[in-house]
Amino acid sequence: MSIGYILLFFLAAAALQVPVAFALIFAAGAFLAIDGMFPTSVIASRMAPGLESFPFLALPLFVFVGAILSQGGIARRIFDFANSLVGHFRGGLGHVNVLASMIFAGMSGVAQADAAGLGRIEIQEMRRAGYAANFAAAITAASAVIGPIIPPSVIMVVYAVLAEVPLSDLFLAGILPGLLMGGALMATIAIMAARGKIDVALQPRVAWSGRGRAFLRALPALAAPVFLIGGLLSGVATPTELGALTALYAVILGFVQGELTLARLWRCGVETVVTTGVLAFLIAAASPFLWTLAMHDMSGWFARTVAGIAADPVALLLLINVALLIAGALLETTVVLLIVVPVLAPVMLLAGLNPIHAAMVIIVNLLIGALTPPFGVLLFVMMDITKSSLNAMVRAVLPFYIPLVIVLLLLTFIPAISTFVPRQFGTGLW
Amino acid sequence: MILVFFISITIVVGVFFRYVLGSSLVFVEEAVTISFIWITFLGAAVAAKMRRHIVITTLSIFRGAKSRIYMSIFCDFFVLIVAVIVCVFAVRYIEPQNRSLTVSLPVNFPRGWVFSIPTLIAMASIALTQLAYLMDSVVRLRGPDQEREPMKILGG
Repeated sequence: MSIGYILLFFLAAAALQVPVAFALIFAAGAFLAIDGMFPTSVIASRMAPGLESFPFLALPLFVFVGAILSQGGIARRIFDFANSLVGHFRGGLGHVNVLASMIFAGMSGVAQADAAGLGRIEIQEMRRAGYAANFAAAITAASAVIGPIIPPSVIMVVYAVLAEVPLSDLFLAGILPGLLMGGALMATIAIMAARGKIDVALQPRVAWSGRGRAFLRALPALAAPVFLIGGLLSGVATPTELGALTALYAVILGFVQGELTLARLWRCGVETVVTTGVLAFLIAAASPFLWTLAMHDMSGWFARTVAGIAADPVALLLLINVALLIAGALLETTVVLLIVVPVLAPVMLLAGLNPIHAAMVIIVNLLIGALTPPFGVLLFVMMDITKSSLNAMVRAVLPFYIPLVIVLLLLTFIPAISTFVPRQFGTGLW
Repeated sequence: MILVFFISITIVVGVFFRYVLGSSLVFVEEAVTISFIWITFLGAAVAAKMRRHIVITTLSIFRGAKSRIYMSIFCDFFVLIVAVIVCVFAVRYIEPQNRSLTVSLPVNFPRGWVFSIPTLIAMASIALTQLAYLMDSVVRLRGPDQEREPMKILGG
């Protein structure tokens, strides 16, 4: 029986709106039952062992950190600090929005936590200052893409486990692309402001004493990304250990600053369990599916099918970019990762692509997809906050695709943007 | 919930022992990995109850309230069947898995408790949840048209 049927079973069940995790279990079970080469009971025996990986533990830890940081106080201090630094430029709060997202990205690993937590404060402040609601929502959604690119990142945890790439290297690889994306978004805001597209009164420049006070107020929160990235660069602890240390730090910080109560902590814990139950269970459910693909040499079949294209790494990457931009706009990021990474990773390796470079291209690509209609999840988070229509949101986001796609193309054609930091400070495998 | 705190604190204690006391705690990795597996499966059961599992709505062809309820009944029944089948298979694996023990914990226990039993508990809970949702849908199908709370889409 052709291995292609397993994909057909999955797509048929998913199209009928069966939850993706159960569609994956069904596809593996139905294929194994019809194929008869292996016992169908494999679906139960492969699920839990699919989670037996220490790097994977970073997932609930960074989700927990994101849940605590979204509580309000820490996000507010980061926003105020960013405002004191760049709020006086033309398009001021647009720059503040991006800078605050970049700082927040150093602590939180989920784009939605950034968009829904810090995003609410950013949109509220921008509307109060006279910015159009759709512009505020658009720049918040675009800057939320940076969240899972600058470490830590839940999507990178999933990728690292699926593609068997060191998580610490992947985290390090995200630093330069994340900064580049932030810079590109700020440049776009500056151009829009210069062309009169952002018509808001300038804020006064904050004196250095005011900046110092904002810095001191934000210092405990700013210490978290410094501590995390410092830990990664120095290699003193694994990403999972840094996740646990950051989680403990965020809890202590929340209690010391009086913004976290036991009831809120409990809610954060429950949210972590449910989010882990969705994302990690998806991985567990995909394990028998991926095992079946591996047993039937799906990667080999795919590599042979695209052999002509795979001979030219640039053509292969461009093809992957187009395919993933479409897939990312139609499907949820983790779902796309689960299906494409085990198939694409060996092909890209065969084409001579650096695994870290390929990983960053795929991840950035899928995150841009999360901002793309018709089903980009970040658009829906913003529509929920601002009560805008999808059309209005898409029109407002449109100018921000340009810098994001430019960064994606730079990442595609200049591997050093992804590989430079891991080469200097990582495991030394690249 | 308690397991989330357990994972965080155990890993931090492990780091403390390694760097400050100069000796590694051998059981940390295995203990937290087992906790993670339990969190995932218990969380999956809770997520099913809250209808938080990821659904692809891209190809939705169901527009009317009534057809949405039919679709919901189909999906709930589908998940119920898958969950029951996985339960049956998971039971078969408990005994062979129990022949080996965990290796580094202070008190080692059969590996069925690490793999098949969390799978079994989660799937049994999901099956019961789906049964309750099915009954709810059938009742609403008999009553006036009502919109059902849509399944949420989550992302990473």
